[in-house]
Amino acid sequence: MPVYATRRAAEAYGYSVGILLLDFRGAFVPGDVGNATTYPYPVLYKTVPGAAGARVLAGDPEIEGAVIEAAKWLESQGVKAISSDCGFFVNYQDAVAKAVKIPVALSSLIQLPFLSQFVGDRRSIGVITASSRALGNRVLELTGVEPEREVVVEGLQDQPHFKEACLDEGDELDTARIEAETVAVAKRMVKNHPNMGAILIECSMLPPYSKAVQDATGLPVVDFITLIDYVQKGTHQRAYQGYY
Amino acid sequence: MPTYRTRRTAESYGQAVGILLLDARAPFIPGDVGNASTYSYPVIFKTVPGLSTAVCLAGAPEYADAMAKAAKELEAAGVRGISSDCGFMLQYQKAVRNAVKIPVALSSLLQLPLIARTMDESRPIGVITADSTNLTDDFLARAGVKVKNPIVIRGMQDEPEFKTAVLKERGTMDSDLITKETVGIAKDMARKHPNMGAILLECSMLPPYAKAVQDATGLPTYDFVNLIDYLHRATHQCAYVGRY
Repeated sequence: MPVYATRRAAEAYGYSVGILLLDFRGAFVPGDVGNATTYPYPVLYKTVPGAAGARVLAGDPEIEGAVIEAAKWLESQGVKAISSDCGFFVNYQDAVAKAVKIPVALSSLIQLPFLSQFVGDRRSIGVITASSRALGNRVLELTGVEPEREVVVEGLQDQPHFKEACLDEGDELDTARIEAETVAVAKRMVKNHPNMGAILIECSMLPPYSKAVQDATGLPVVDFITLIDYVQKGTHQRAYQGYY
Repeated sequence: MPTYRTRRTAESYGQAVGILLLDARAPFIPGDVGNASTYSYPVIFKTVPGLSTAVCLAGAPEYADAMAKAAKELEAAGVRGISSDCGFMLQYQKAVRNAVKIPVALSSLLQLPLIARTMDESRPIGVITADSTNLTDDFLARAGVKVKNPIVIRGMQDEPEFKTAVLKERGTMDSDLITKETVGIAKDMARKHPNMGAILLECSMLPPYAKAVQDATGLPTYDFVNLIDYLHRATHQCAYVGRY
């Protein structure tokens, strides 16, 4: 492709995935969806004005227009797929998918039916979320998971450091403390449900602790990054350099 | 973890994913599911004796026990996830996932619901399969793969090089010719369905051509290796070493 056309709407080139951000300030550490060094490819961020965590968790229809507008802007910049930094953007998944031409994977939760196919019929799937009060049956239904699958939801909303650092937008985040809280919740969940077959981590601030959760439970763990990596690969196929 | 315990059933260690193979002999080039250099992690292969390509494509429920037995042997060898080298192994997905404790993703076709979720439900998904005469809506429905989007299925069975090299196991294969055949079908499909949202390559011998298909159509293109990479990521979470 030796002749390239200028994309008039684009400020720069080569962005792989566009990521919609909550209108939120927190410490996005390496491994967080909101940290650019989490990815081996360039990502482009766009804050959705007015999309406070509480409104997205509730699926407030008033911000749907702003979410769509931000997604269209990312598309105009040349990204090949769109994700977000909050699993509760599942509330806007279908509206955004209808509004743009590129693949849309706004929520870690859309992996739930996919993951469900991988595990035995009698095994449960655990979901660790920022707020189990917000993640009720309505949201689970939006994920498309089949009703026969047992889904166990545990929230971090009552863990002291997660609450102050992540939910209440604190100025400091101690990764050792969040890791301890997340692992404790995961271990308790597995202890109460010994038939658990896999864990899905909903919150975009928790992938830094996925390895610790996996090491502690021995279970498959998917999170926001496994989803973003998946759509990235599906939109950036590669040449193989192996041997025969 | 300074003390390690011998796994008495393991011949070697560090194998990430186990891959069940059809009883077939054909050139598995780089990018093929059956070529170890396709992956950035170690895999082990296990052939299911007697389960030839023709038998599997035609549907062979009598092999469910043999598949489960082979999967258990891979599990005992220490792999953390199980896949296969034929999308038609979808027929054994439930039997195998119920036979082992580790996650099972035998078929590229398991990706259909997730791919569908990333786009509006009115947009067709194109599937390029080894044999469209056997890949029917009924086959998908029996395996529990349900999507609202229209599925456009096209087969490689009448393409001369694919037919003789892959289906008839001629003994040699010209990858330039297979590229032309695959891209030809993809372009024709995209032309007839201008609203197509993505392409899925069913066959485990087609990932080497996914980039050519993507370049020719501009569409998101998913294949067997995308599924296996996802399974690997879910079972081997990583530590992040980025910057803040």
